[in-house]
Amino acid sequence: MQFLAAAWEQIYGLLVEDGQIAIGTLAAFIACAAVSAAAGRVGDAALQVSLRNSAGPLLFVLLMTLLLVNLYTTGRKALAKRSRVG
Amino acid sequence: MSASLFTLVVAALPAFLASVVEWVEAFTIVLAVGNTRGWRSPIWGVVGALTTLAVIVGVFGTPLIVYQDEVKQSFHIVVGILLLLFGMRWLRKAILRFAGIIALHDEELIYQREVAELREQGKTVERWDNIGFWFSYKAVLLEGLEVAFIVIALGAQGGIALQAAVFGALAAFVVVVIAGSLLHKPLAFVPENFMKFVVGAMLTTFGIFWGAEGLLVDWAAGDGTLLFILGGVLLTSFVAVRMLAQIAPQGARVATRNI
Repeated sequence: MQFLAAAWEQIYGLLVEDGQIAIGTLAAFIACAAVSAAAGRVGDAALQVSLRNSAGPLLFVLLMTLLLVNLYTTGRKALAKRSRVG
Repeated sequence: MSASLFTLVVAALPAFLASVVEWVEAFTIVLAVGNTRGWRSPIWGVVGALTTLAVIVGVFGTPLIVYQDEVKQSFHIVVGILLLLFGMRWLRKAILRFAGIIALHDEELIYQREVAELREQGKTVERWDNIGFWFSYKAVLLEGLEVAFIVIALGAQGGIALQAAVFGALAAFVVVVIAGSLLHKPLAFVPENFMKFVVGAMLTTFGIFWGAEGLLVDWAAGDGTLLFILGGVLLTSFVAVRMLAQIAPQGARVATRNI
């Protein structure tokens, strides 16, 4: 039973170590999926393709922003913790 | 770039690097078990764990590849998301370690801890040592799960990608076993964090690329876009390390191992 719990923890830990990163990654993906889906409702074919293709660079920008914001808050937390410890 | 070289770079290289990191961690524990309680049972533990991992790769990997064409779009989305979750996790951790916010992985320290824990269990007098078997089985299986995940995700592009990823993981296993057998001590010299960083950057890059393809994005530069994305990820990482150095210049002394 303990082994199964450790295995589950390992599998879960494979993907989720920091909740903000995991949820943020999914949210970024959903936002880009929404852009891609919205492109399908645009009448102009050229605009449709251009809007759909913008989902790729958008995904990149959202994820890199998420990474920077997460690391910034982690750094601030580390600094605050060190101040408390002395 | 030829198709075979491209597959090798995309599937075999990250699988190899990631596997070296994981096998080195598993080796430290198996070495501690073998040196403390004898080698027979831990070797069977390693064989048992590798067999379990082969079954996992076979069970989950085969259907993904067989039915790939039928579910190509959803498949790209799922693989893209999984690679992103996994890659971003490794990238973040490696950056925090580069910046000194969390401590580096210390194989020597882990080895000493494992030896101490095993000695507390008492000496084995039987020919078959259950503790030795299960310690090494658990270590290889748990570390190997990450290897299996990466092999399945990278190999799921179809073609010879799975063979390339499996080959990368097996080559890493052989390299670690040979190096470990020759040196007979924890492989602390392996630059684990740097390798973790490279793998994290590569998996994040592939995750963005395939994930977007799953959303029907047609990348302007085709497969060449991978290089642009990778460059962007590396640049962001560089900025992040510099930023953390500004925020917490004495990071390593912070007691924040579990951030």
